[in-house]
Amino acid sequence: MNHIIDNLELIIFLILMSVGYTFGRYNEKRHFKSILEREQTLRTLLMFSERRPPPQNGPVDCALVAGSCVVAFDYFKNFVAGLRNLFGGRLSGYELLLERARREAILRMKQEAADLGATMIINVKIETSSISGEKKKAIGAVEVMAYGTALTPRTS
Amino acid sequence: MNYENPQLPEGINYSTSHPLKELMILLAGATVIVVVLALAISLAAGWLATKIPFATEQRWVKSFVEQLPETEKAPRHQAAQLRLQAMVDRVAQLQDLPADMKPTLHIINDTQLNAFATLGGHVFITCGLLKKLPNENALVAVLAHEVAHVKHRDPLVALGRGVAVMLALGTLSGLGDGSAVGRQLQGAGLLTALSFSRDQERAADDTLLHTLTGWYGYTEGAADLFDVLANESAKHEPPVFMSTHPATAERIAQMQAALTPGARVPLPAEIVAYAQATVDECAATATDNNVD
Repeated sequence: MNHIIDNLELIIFLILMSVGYTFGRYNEKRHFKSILEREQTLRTLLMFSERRPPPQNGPVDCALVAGSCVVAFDYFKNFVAGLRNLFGGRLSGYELLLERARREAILRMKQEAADLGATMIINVKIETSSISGEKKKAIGAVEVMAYGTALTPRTS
Repeated sequence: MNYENPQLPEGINYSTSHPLKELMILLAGATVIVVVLALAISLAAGWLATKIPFATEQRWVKSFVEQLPETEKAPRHQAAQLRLQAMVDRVAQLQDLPADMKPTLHIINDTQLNAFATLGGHVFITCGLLKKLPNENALVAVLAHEVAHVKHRDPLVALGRGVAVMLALGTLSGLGDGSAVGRQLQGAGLLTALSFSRDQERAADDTLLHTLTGWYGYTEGAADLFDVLANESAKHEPPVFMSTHPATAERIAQMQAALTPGARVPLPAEIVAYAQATVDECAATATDNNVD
């Protein structure tokens, strides 16, 4: 019993690590599956970073569409990233997380455009900002925002 | 111009390597760094610690020593204390301790078998050990071993190493974010402060053998203490002395190799009587406590 109390901090650490790992992995798998499905359904809605509409386009209605996604780091990823700080190299845990956030933000933007009946989004831009800012002990979370101009063909 | 969004292959922006594999590689690397760093800092701090004057070391522990319970005024205790202090003084003389380095002996009322040297030249021995010692040669061996630690500044070196390693690991763990891990690392640093290294023990034993030769002209009885301890650990839980003094077999071999025969001298009568009486009293109080 004393042994457990002496090592309580280590035990808590190990529990947090395994919780972070298990839930992080589970969420990641589920999220990726959902991203791939929705990307397929919204594939016909084209998206470009070009500022002007294609010249062959007929008359269109323009609308601003945006999608944003906030993701938090789990304990496991934070710990691995902390170790990675010693050696340098790819922060693969964070890379994967940001990839998910980017694609989710784009999907939400596309969904908004699809609801408007748009066929194309132009001038697409993606912005990332850290919610915790420079503070060390704040919540580790990142917001990714995608926005662009949705073009809906005029029906009249 | 043709406008299209081609289907891009997966895995361009992220790696598919397993996160646990990455964790293992990073942990192994970090462990190597920590071990190498701790070793280097420990050696450097140990070397620096010996540069601290003995007077400074004594000043550090002064307040602590003043807080020690004023050991009994009983004449029996005083007599044993004086007798043992005289033996320590003679051991110090035989070991050529510097003039300002004067070891002080304290007797602890405890049935455990233990003897140790700490900062400021304070040497402690328990009544339990005094009672179990078979002869004077073994007593001189114990005192000589502990005084040798004082001579070599071992307590200070151990403390210096421990504190330096603790600080270094504490700083390093600040880089990672798990504070629990940091505490564990600091604990590991503290642990090194509490024990002497194998080399320190070997050097103290060397000095012990020289002292015995200087005292009696032979080293017979130097390893008697270990027989006592071995008997005790066979009977019940290992004595504390064993855990603070590792690699006993190696040390017995070292002493056997340097053995020069001679006669064992019986313990001084007042010390035998004192140890017997005190241990009996301790045992009596312990039984009382058990009744409660």
